[in-house]
Amino acid sequence: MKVNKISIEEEIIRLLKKESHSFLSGQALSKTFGLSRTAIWKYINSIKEMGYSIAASPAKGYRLNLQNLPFTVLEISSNLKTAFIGKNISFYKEIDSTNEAAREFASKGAAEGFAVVADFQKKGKGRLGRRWESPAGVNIYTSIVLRPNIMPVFAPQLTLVAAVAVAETIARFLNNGSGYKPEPAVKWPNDILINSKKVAGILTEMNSEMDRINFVVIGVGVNVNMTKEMFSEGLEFIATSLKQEGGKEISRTAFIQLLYLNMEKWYAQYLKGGFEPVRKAWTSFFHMAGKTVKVQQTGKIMQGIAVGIDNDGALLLREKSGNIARILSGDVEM
Amino acid sequence: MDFKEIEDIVKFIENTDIVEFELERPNGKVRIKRSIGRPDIVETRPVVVTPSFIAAPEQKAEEQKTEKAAEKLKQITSPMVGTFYRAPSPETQPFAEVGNTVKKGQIVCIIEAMKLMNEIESELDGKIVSILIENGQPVEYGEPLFVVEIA
Repeated sequence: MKVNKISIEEEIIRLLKKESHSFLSGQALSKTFGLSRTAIWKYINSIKEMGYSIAASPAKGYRLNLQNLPFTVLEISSNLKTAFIGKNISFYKEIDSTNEAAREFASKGAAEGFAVVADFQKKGKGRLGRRWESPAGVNIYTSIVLRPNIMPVFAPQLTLVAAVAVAETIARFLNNGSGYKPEPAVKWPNDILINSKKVAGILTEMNSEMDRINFVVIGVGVNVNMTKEMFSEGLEFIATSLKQEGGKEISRTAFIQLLYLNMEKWYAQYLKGGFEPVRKAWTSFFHMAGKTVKVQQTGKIMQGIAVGIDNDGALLLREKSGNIARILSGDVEM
Repeated sequence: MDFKEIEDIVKFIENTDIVEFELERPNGKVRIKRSIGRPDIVETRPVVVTPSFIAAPEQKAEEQKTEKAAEKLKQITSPMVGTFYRAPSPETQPFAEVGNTVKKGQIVCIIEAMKLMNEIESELDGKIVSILIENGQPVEYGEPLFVVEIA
């Protein structure tokens, strides 16, 4: 049987994790794999290049630092508790846009749940060609392919399904047991804010026919460990990160694992139980109800009091005249 | 292009929400613009009217031909309620202009609802003869967005 290089590396990582309380000798490793100690040393170097931090001592061997594991497919996949979301991941050190890549994969037949993850996005994008700031090494950029068997007219509700999953995941990581607990809030339709600053964005793209969805790509960007200095000029006043708000460094691996799990849970709930449970959960994160908001649309600004969302997920806005406007797109500002 | 053909086009447009329409043929060009109700022809040039002294059979062939002309016009409609965008961002060129040829599967516009961006593809090869909605305007389910003349 031909053993490929990746599987030996994966196996070494697995053994190092098991023995992380002490050193694992090079001799033991070379015996296990039937390889020379030089060959093992080469594999260790290649594992280090993957981002793992390994202490090496000529006398004692190798020891993996569990506190500083890299953000890799291998790490994400171990302990991932989902049935389909993220079971197949395409990971990039750098990419133009995870949404673009996921769409490309989807149009070539990628299955439901397929995900693209990147450490850095060169052209991270938001709504209508806007930029999503995507520095390396600190945040989550992932796009998930879904193929729901629903009519395209209902698909916009999926953006609120995603918002609930992201908000729930963020709430979990901000709740670290200390007294101060910042809370995530949704801004219609699906930005996630903490203390009125944007911490996560969701961009959903669909390819459909009149009566059939070919695929939906849900792109999620979360500012996890980004520091103030990393934002471009001025953006730090309107954007933030989980680390800035919660005060703690958060494992991106743990975050994305729970994100995928929550996404799968709410997606399944939506397909099975319809929009109402999603609407309820979404509303629990909506802190703008009763407040005066502005909605910026192409060439037009509307003002009124945010009432909530209707059974389709549209924003209801009570205008001065008393008329309730139903908003399907636009930027909502307080 | 004769008056019968134009009449067919007008009849075709009558049952749609088309507000502006342009069709170019080797033998002439017609542009129709209307606000509401019946379309009025504001400009036609140069319309060649074929003399038709000859009797029935020939006439019938002519009718069939013009019916075919109307059959060649197909609409691209919206699969959902939302906002119509002609370009991926306000700074970029529209996906398609009147007169452009489009291939099946080519993106012609985006419909957005609740930050779900639906890239609408042409379902056929042809030429865009009319764009029916203005950028940034709301559209209904099934509302026609483009008229395409099949290649």
